[in-house]
Amino acid sequence: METIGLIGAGIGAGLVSLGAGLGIGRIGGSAMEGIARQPEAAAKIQTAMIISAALIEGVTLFGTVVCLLAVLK
Amino acid sequence: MSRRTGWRIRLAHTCLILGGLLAVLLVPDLVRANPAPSAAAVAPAAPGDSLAGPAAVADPHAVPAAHGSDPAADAHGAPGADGGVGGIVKGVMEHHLTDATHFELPLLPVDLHKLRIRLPFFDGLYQSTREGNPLISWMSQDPDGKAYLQVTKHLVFMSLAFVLVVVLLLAARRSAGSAAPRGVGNLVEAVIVFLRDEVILPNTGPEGRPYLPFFLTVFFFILSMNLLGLVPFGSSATGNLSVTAGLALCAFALMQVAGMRAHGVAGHFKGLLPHGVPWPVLFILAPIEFLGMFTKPFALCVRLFANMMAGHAVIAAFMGLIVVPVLALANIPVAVAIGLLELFVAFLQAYIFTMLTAIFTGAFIHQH
Repeated sequence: METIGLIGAGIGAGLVSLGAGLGIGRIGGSAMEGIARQPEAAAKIQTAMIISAALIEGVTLFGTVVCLLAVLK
Repeated sequence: MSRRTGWRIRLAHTCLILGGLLAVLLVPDLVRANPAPSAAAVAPAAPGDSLAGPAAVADPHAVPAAHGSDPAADAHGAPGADGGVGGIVKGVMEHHLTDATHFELPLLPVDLHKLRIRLPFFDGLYQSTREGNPLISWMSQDPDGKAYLQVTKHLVFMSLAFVLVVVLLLAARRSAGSAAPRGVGNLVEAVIVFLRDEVILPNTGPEGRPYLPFFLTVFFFILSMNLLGLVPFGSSATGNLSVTAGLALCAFALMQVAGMRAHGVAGHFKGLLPHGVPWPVLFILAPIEFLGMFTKPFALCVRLFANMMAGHAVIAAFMGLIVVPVLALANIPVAVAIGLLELFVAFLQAYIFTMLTAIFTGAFIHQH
């Protein structure tokens, strides 16, 4: 039973990283496009990008903590 | 170093100093993570371990009794006693990441398990939560069944962060009144003005001015707790769920107080429901909005906790991969790079906590 938990934790952590990569990659891409269109708005776009990335990363780390709990218990 | 030195030399010196600092940061983990039997002789904490025998039972951070009852498994380098990979992970990594009643300063193991306060009032509560509850984990799991307030590693570092913040802000006061601030007051004032004018007041509006001291204090407090986890032999108290839960509880209280002061107690709850929706929808919306009032601080808590713990967990995992010394050549630069990322994350998470609390408070003050 413990082995299944460990396998699940490993797969879960990988999936969580996949989700985060997709989400934050899209944010980064849109931010680049926005800055390319309007370089004078670069500072605002960059701030909004960092905020969105941190929020998505928060959700990611929810999942990572669950996987860590599965390993440590 | 005068400005007549070329920029290449200055850059090289800076890289050397930064690299040296971060390498020193990782030496304690390197020494401890090696699961070879010689680690017991190499690690400076050997006397601390024999004292930590009873401390392993008294460890307050919800280690289940089945694992904590074998002190050798909790110390360095005796993994697998509980069986399997989980035992190795617990034995080697856990006391770096979770709370503990012993920690090391350079050449000086510190054992805290005798430093505790008897709390007879909480005996009943402790009995009913015997199996370990992450939010009441400050109770010592003493075999005699009594409730203690145990001083732990995270509590010590949280108090240190408190002292640092107080000292820093008091030192900044000296140049507070002058037109051109000097020294540390300049630094603190720059940060405070940035937070006030770009982050807090735009989100809470002018009615948020009375709450400014809370936001600024919480930013500096979280920042110093995060940064203390990056110095050698330090640990970040925000890597403890209880600490971030306390911070989120304060943010929750602030949001309620701000909303109630702006709209009255009834108006605060009525303002959760949006205008212009047909009334049957309100039956679904009202519980969701009410729950949303609680999930926002909960997300703040878990976000901060997970970000801090994940950073340390990754570094500890990389150090744990060094099973033969030659692997250190690959692992240490990667761990150093992740340490730099962690430095960025420390600042970012303090900023995000402050900003999100300001946004939520503004949402409660200005209902639609």
